[in-house]
Amino acid sequence: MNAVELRNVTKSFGPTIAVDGLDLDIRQGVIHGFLGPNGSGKTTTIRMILSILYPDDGQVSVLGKASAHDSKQRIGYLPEERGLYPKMKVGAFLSYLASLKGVPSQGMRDRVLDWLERVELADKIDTPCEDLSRGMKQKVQTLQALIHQPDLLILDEPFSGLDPVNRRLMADLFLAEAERGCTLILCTHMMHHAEELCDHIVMMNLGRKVLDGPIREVRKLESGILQCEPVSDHDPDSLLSIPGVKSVRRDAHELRIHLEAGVDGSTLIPDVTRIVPCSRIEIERPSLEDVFIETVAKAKT
Amino acid sequence: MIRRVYLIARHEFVKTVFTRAFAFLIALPISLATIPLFIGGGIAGIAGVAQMFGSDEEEAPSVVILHVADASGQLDPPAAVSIDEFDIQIVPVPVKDARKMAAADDSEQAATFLLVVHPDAMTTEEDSFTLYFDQEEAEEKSQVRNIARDWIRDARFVHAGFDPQVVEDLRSVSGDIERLDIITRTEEVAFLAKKGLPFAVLLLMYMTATVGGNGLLTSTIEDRNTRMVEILLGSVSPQELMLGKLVGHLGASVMLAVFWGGPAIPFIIGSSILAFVGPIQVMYVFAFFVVATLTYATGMGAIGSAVNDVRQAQLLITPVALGTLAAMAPAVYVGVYPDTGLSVFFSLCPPFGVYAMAVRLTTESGAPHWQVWLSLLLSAGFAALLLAASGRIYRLGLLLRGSPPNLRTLLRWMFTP
Repeated sequence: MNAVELRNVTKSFGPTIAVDGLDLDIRQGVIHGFLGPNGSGKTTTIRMILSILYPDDGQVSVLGKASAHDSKQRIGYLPEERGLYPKMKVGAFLSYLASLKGVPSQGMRDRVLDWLERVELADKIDTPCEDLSRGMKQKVQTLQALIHQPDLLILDEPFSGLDPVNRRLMADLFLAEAERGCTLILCTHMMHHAEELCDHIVMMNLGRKVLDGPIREVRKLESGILQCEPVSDHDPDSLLSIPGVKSVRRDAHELRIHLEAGVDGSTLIPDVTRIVPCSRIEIERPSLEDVFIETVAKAKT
Repeated sequence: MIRRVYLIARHEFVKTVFTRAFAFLIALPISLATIPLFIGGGIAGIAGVAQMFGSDEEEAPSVVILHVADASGQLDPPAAVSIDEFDIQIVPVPVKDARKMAAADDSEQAATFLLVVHPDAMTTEEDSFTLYFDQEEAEEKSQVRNIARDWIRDARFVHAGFDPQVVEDLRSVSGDIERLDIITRTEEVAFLAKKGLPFAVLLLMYMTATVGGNGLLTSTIEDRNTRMVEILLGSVSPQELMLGKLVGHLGASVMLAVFWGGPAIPFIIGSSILAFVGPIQVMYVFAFFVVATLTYATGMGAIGSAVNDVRQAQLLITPVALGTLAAMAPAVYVGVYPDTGLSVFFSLCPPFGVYAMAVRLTTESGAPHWQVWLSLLLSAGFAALLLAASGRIYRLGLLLRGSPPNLRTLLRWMFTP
């Protein structure tokens, strides 16, 4: 079952087409990485999912409803441009936003305290938001999206401004929400976060979806690399005779052998070592960043 | 939806009302009323201090010594006379050595005068006396001369066989001078109250609507600047957000109106002069006040959603403020001539009706109930249309970054579904 469905959704701002005929299925209970370069249409898509913006054309369905208006209380949203009421105390701020999400006022303080304890900010419940450090503010802003325990959690760059320890803390919170059954949409430019957390990747470029699939499948789309350290000087071009080798590049004392898409590097190791005796040979798995750069480059050409 | 609107309204109300600026606004009429008291008290205080420090010299009256040399032999001066700020000690002296004796009695502390009454003083029309003084700056010269004249006049009456007191009584004719009042004082107060009430209501409506509208403007700008707007829009719809803010700031305006105008309501209702204003009229005026505030605040909210700061808002506020003033202008005419056909038209037709009918209701002529309800319906409908159009600006403007849109763009947004 899908938590979010977009069918042929288009949105323009004047002459600029921000989202162009987008079809998207976000499966329930799955962590989705929503990737794309700046201006690719990610934020516009998210705003349409949340019914902050309305599509010019196409249909949006969120948590089984025709519009997010009918299900906003079941959605948690952390926008990229985060905000706080500077003069409000942390507890009052979280209580206010939780109450807007339909959390009953009875037991509210305990709930707020519980969530603050999870991010090690329980002692800040009566501190004005403006007196918090940047990292603390970031945690409070994230809590406002989680406090009502939503069914759909949309996080736009949730790790920006956090140190590694707090990044781990927040990642654990998100994983715990996913285990609870919450669907997560994680927008990020930091590919290693997407690789670490996401089960499924959607990549956008110039308003169109250019990639959509489970992370293992996505990685397979990009060619792998064999890294080897030859024992003596050899002509790298001699390796191009091996079927499945796309290109070879010398990098200091190493040779980087780029393979064609779908080729299993391990099957080529005997042929490579026969032509170029090596003291060391490794298979380098393609990173999501490689996929991202490759996909964007392809789209440009 | 109602719960979310209520929560936003409560948040906005608390955020607005529990501030020093709002406390200042509430206290403003009290402060203005106390200014005359402060000024009066200050003047009284300064006068008191001046009196305290200047008392030594002013309290003791100066002393004047008046030597009287009566050559006519008819004068009967008293031993002493007290006039305002000085005492006159009278010393009779013989005519022959009058100058010498007066000079011998000269004192630096007291002004010394010598009155020489001429022998024919009782009959002559020429000079009857000569008054000598020793100090050029003596301020008592004219008073002493008048006293001398009175003495000689009384002596002449006696000399002619009249009792000076009888003559004085006969000369004295008293009479009252009173203003001829066509309008009595009570009628004058009643006239002012009747003419002043509609304009007081108009002023109160404008001031509270302005406060509510400006509150919504700054609150919306604050939400944009603190980046809270997208978080809020993730929780509620733009319409709910705008409505909640409107209701919250309307509540603050109502509170202000209650503090500013509320104390006067029992007096107005209880006054026999303003007997034409009853609880029903007060309720009607309150309803128009609510619609006026909503109408003004709606425009300000839309502007707040489309600008980054108050400075940018100024350019767009001007048309809204001018529009509001234009809507209010006919109400002044209605306040003066409430019975004319034009007044009835203005009090029914939006956007003038909201102010004009409120004013008309507080005139002696009043307005029929059906006209009040029709005006209220039309004004509320106009406010709802404006709210819907402003809602479009609000929805589009809230997430806009960079240069603010111009008036033309805002109008295009208003009429674009």
